[in-house]
Amino acid sequence: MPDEPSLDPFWVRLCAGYSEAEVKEIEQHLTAWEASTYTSIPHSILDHAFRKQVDPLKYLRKAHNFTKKGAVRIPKSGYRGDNTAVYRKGNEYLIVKTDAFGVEKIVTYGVNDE
Amino acid sequence: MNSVNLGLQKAERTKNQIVQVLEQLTRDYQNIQPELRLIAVNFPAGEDEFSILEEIELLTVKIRGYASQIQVRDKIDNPQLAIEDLKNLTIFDIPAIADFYFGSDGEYQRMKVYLQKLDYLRLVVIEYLSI
Repeated sequence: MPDEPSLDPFWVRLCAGYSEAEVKEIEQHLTAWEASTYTSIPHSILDHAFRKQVDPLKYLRKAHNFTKKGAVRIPKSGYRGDNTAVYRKGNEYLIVKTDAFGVEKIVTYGVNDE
Repeated sequence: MNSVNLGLQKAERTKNQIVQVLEQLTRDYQNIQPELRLIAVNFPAGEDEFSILEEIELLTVKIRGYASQIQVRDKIDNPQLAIEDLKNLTIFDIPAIADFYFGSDGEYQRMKVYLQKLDYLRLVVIEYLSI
């Protein structure tokens, strides 16, 4: 999430229509994500939700509810050459990469038989 | 017409192509859902590498991210880095995708067209950033 989310038009669009409590929840979920090649994390979430035809907050909740404990991790340690790894449990997966501070962040969440 | 105007026109045309392909890919993504389920069954995920659907999802996110930056702000910060990254995202060099694409003759046509368009989008974004 940007340092000053109010300046990001995607943050404004992402929060449109949600209650104050839901906006706080969105803000909390976004801290687990990485912008990857998008201009910002809200931009990324909006595009994911648009492509997958899901409500953005529901999408964020699904990713949040994915527990890494008990998941298969590929590679088992470290990251691939593109700095990514995947956690997979059942048909769900979470693709992650490390951010500039070395903290593992979510790039995308999906379902293998979506 | 001077070369600056020609360059601006080319950039505008290329941006329009990017926006059109992005929109097509969004529609196509909805239409490949039945094939995604079949692919998940017929190309099961192993425990040593990304599944084909995970590879496609990651490629989709990376390429769409760059393309949507151009769609909304006409530019990408550090374009040279983006060009290098996009050049390294050669879709058919990814073993799982190459095995799927070239090893399933006549099947999964919607997904194959989706991959072709995604690779085309990658190339058009590189072209835009090179103008």
